[in-house]
Amino acid sequence: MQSLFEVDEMRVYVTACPRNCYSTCSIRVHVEEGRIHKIEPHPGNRATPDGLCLKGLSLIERALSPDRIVFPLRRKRGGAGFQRISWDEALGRVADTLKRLDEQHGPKSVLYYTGSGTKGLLNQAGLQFFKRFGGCTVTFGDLCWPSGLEATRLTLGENKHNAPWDLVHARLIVLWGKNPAETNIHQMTFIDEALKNGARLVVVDPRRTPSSERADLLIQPRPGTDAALALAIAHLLIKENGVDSSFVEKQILGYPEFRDRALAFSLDEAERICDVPLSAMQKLAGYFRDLRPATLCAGFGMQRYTNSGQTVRALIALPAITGNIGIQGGGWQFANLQSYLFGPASDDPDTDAFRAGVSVARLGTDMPALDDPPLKMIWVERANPVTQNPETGKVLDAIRALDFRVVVDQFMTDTAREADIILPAKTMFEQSDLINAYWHPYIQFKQKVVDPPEEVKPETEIFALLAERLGLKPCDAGAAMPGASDREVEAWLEERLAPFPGLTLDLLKSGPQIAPGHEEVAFSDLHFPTPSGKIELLSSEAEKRWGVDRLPSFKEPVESAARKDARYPLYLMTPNSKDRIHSQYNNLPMIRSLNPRPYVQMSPLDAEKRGISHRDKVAIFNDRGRIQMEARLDFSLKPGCVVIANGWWIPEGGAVNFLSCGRETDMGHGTAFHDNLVDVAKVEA
Amino acid sequence: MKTRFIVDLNRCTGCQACTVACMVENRLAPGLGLRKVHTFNEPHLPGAARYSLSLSCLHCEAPACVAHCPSKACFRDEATGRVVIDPDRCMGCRYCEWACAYGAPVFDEAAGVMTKCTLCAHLQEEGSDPACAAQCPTNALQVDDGSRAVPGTDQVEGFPETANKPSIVFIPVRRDRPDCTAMADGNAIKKRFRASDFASLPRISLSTEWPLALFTLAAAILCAWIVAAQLAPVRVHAGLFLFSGIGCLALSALHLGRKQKAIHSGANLKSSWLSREIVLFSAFLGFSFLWLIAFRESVILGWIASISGLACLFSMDRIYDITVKKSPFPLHSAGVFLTSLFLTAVFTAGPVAVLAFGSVKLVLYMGRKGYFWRTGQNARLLPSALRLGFAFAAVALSGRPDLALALFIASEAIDRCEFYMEQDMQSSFIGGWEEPRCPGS
Repeated sequence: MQSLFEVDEMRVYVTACPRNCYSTCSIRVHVEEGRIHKIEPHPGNRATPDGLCLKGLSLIERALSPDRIVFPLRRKRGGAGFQRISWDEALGRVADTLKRLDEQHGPKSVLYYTGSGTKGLLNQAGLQFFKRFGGCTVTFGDLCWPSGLEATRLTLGENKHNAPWDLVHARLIVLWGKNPAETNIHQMTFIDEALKNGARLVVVDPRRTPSSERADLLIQPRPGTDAALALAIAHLLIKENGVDSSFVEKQILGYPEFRDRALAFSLDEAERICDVPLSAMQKLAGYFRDLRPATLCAGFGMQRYTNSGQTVRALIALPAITGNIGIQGGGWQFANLQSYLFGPASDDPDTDAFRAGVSVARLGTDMPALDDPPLKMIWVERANPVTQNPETGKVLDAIRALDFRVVVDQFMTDTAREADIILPAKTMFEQSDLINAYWHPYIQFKQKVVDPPEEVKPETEIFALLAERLGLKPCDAGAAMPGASDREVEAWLEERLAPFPGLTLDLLKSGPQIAPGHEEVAFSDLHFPTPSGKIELLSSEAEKRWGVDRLPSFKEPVESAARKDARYPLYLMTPNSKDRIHSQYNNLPMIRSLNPRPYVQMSPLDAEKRGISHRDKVAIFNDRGRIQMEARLDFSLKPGCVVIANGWWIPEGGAVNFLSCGRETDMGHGTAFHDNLVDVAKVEA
Repeated sequence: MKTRFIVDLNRCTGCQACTVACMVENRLAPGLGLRKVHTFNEPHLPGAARYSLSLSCLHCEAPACVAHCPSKACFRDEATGRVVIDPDRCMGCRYCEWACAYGAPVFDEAAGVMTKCTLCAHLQEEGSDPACAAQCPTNALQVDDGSRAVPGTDQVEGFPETANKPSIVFIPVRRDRPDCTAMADGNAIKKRFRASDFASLPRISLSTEWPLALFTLAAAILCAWIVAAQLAPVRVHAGLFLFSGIGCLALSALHLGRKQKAIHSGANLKSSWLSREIVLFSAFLGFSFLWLIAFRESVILGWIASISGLACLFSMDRIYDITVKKSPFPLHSAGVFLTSLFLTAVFTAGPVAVLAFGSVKLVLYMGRKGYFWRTGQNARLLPSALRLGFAFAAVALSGRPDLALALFIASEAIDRCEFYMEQDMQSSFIGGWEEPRCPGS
């Protein structure tokens, strides 16, 4: 930190956690003599004022971990293990391979694969490099949330919702497939405030989670049937005078058609499909009718089924027909992209140079299927596709079939283990960047507070060095990417802020700033940027673009135990837990000491049928794979469901995506890995 | 100084940020948790509340650790209200771990001493709250100086009830559980619940406590030998006695984290049975040896040695008053005082006394086994058969006193081992489903 700051004594920096997480906490870092001494919450962020989660608190351990990769590594001859090499050798090998592949097969024989490991504007460096390289193959779609985003966009025109703290005004809160106690802990504070003020809380989840403990009602539907449940509740609302008729008339396109659709959907059938008693549906419908404002917060897991875009459209209908959109304490909460201000630094990638040829959802099948040119090399950054994409077996095969693999990472993940060259990755403390969030509206400056250890280089520098070696010229006049120095990085970031008067790095160094144009209550102007300018329950675009019904509808997921051709009887749910963000954090001893081994939760009824007792060793299997771990009985889990937290690594025995299938969701090119049927059997010791 | 914890059970979701904040702030080795989050209703039984109990040292007004610490390493700092462990006095005997119902003191393997929450005194001096409360992301955990009126309770289900006056207030849950729709018939699922599946592993076990089993049994034998010699012409071999006595001392020190600190172990005669036991055992060895080598004719010295031995064994039995037992009987057949009386009878070869004390032991043993059998606990049939077999064989072989003595001792050894398998710490039951059974004190 010579260039920017004097750090003889203790200094406190403002920064932000760059993880793929709702909360995106504001943090204060105490640095003493070039070492991070302490981190604590920054009270200036109204959404996360009180404290960090256990993962955030372990960020120092993560940065200082003895397991961290801090030198370039090369796979040893013979394939066993890695050896340290110089940057010169590492970059030389990568550059030689890129040059050779470019000559023999063209640039599109290289797949540039990125994930959500860390957020920031500088993540564009890779695409800018490949643009100068002449292109490459890239992926389309996403593991996380596209079907919900697309369903929301089709219905409301835009992905935004009320500020997080507005939830205290709600009189009814519905957490539909969301477990904020583990994935968005700071939301629980607002929920508790609302409950203290007399609000009702309803949770829809096949599991009983820490978020449902203080709920008035926990509705536990069969996985993948949420649209049927939503249609049934709409049916009840329509029949029992629960619709806000003036709102519906003015603001909704296609209400009459939706009404007919919902009324045609019989309640008996809904009861049978969802396996939820009518009384529970009536209770929720009654709450929606009687309690206003109502906010429906949807999670991400529920929209990772093959029918989930349509599911989300059906869900949005509930706050819409009850007139809860655009009001304080009300609304639909899926993603709040009001802080997504920044476009790419230069024009969009030249479509001819880039081949968007691989669906993220089908990575393992799309990679080997590409031709002209076939894929020869993969560059992986901020991602761990081996355990985190569907069908780990196929992903491994596809990656192993290539000629050359480069992985940039902080730790020896299952993907890094497959690499020919591993390049060390920076942590959040080692390069400045701008961060936005998808729950709260703050723009934040993730500040550099220490130098990278040993030979770690930020990706911007790696790509700059590589471009230099390959003799690539910048392709547009204004530098698309900053130079290596901290000063150049800050100047580049400052330029990104230029369109927003008043928003400067200096200001951001003092604390998080609410994005310009932020609406505390989203859609309060009742302006919906859809083709009709209204909330579109009837969407021609949905039909045209995705080939789905123009109205929200329910169809069994492709893989469903209710189908006659179902080969396995149990739904495998693979939610996120409080202990990690996907596959990150559990390698740290501090976190591991709290939860050392994977386990599968199951209902005692399902266990009994299979002769399984609490803590027995069991195998979880289907046609795609088999993993083994301890069974734990959960007396409130919906029978027919089994649960394993996602993110365990292969050597830990819990890599759940050995069992999932690479399929896309019905819209948005999302990943439907929750269409996942398995069986469980006791493993004789 | 802020010494009182306030826990809002509505807000605490069991996120464990407090646990990690404590590890980070106090630079603890991985796994050394001074603050733990316990869960009430771990198995998610329908119809029952589930909540999290985030607990560290509760800086009790009447702390059990202080009362029972033999070396006075644990003390309550009256000026600040903090309960503190002095690492320079602690010998790592781990008895405070047994004494504390909240599981607060933790053994630091690296240092060989006990450690626990300091209320982050270093932060409080700077005007900050302890890390656990300062970092709680939902503000569920707070600390204050106790002067504020809090609408809370000091007792919730799953939280150990003691007379220690812990410094904690719970804000109870407003609504204890959701109506779940998963099961039409909650009873069908509850019928499949076995509490033993979810019981935590016993925290006292023979595999770690075997030196104590050996030491206590040996003490009972040595004492019986000396007492018997006062009552009958029993020959006591001075060399063997001394060798065994020193062996006993070595065994008892084996489990100490810092053996060189054992010098402090007699510091708390006022309230620690462990302190009393150690001092009385040393007195017993000293008087006995003096009697054996120099004053064999002195009846008074012989009886002083005997009485200090019996008093030591009485103290030894009292040490286990604070554990939780698996059976409800107030007397254990392997209690060392009773065992010593029985063995005295064996040494003196008084058939009536052997029969009398032996019968008491048999009744206690069989009663306990019967209880285990009836309540579905492991009655350990094989060791039981061996224990009874050895005892009856010894009776049958009374013509050969040495062999009979060896068989009786083997039989007693089995019982003493079982004694350790039937103990657990009170803190094992935090958040659990079974009430701790008949705590001794």
